Amino acid sequence: MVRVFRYIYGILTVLLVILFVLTGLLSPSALSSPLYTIIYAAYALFTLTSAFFIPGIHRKLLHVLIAFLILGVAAEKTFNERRFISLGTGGTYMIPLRSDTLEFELIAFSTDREQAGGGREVHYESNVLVNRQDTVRISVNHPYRYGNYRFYQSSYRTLTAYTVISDRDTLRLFEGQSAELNDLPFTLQGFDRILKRAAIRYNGILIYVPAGKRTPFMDSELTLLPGRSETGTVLECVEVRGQALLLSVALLTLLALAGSVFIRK
Amino acid sequence: MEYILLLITFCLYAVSFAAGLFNRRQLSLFAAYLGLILHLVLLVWRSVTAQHPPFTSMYETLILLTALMQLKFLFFQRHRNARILNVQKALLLIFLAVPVFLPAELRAVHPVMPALNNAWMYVHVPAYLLGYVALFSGLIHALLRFYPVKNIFDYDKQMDTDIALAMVFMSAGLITGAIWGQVSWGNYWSWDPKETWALINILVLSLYFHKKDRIIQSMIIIVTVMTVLFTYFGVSFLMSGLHSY
Repeated sequence: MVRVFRYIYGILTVLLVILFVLTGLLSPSALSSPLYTIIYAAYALFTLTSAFFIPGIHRKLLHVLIAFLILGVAAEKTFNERRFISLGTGGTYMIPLRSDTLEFELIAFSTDREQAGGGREVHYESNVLVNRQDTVRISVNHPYRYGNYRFYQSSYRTLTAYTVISDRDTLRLFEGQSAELNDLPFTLQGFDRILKRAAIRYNGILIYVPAGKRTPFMDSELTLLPGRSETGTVLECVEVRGQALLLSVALLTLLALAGSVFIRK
Repeated sequence: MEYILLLITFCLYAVSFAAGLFNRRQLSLFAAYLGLILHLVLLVWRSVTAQHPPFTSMYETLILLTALMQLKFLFFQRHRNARILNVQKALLLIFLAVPVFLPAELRAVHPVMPALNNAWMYVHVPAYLLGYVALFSGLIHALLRFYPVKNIFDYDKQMDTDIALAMVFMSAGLITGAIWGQVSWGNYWSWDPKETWALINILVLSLYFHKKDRIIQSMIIIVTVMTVLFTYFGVSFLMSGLHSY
């Protein structure tokens, strides 16, 4: 019986390794797909079950370690839900959370580059006004914490500023930004570069405005003009669930590992 | 100056290896100890010049890794058998040859990247380096299994200990890397190529503990070393991801 479990574990492990290698080389994004998650869970379950049958406390603990590691990588999406937010300087971004909405305004984005060599960045950070009250500094390894949410400095990219002109107002916005146009809520949701039109939510209604053309809407006319590009920041918003559980499992796994190799029969 | 130090260290290790091949034990040992002293000076020099410990690039980790290997071979694993000593020195030379022949741009001092500016780097990277030292130490015994020395079985316990330590430290490196990712980026696992291959290393190495046949165990060690080398070099040069630096 023990020999059967050992052989099956060996075969399954080799198959899993081959799967990792081939998928990692050919289609890395598939590693986090639902089908692969099922495979990981099945392997982890077998590894954990076989721990009961395999002799030797150190082998049992090793199986526990491997099972926890595989379950951990399979469950990452369960514990962390994430999205990316691009912000340009000025203007307001409304960020819907689970039971709240945050208002972000990017005051400044700065990047330091090394003087010599390839000129790669050595530091970059965003100064953000949150809910028109608190100014926070978000940089790599120093996220902004709001309840269960963390806002990380992910990267930066080039954003295009758009000018929206109505008969009474003119706005300068980036994609995703919100403001008030003619005293009504206005959000530039996105710009389709192929169809050359913007998706706008104006007073709760979704409309499409072609670039450079006057578009009548309600009792006004809107014109949207793409402007110059500038560097905007990219933040990653992560909702962390069960952080204490994660850390406890990680440390227990490490202890199990140390026990597995230092306990002798 | 730093490169000159590196070259002299490399030459001293080469002299030690050559002297060992010709059975000049005293000269071999002298060159090895002198090389180690210069190697440690090189590490200190690099740390002072760069203003951070040698953890942040392939060049830095390689010179640290080879220093740790030499420390282990000279002080924690003294062998009398000439063949084992020669294989140790050959392995050291091969690894030290890589930083010697790296382009100057990859050897240059760069400020620490924002992503690496974290206390967990001082746990995660050393854990892996210690794991690799133990693994390469076990590799020597694995290779000699196919080209045996007298009383090879006397070294079985040493091989078990080395692989056990490799498993502990590499797993600790994996877990601390995940904790670092969660703390810094809210993401303890992102299927980055380096992370995927680190997991592959652990899985392959785990098979060692399920086999009693020493030949098969030796083959498992050799395969694990191949996957580790791909993780260390192949992923950095051939694949892009969070760990591409």
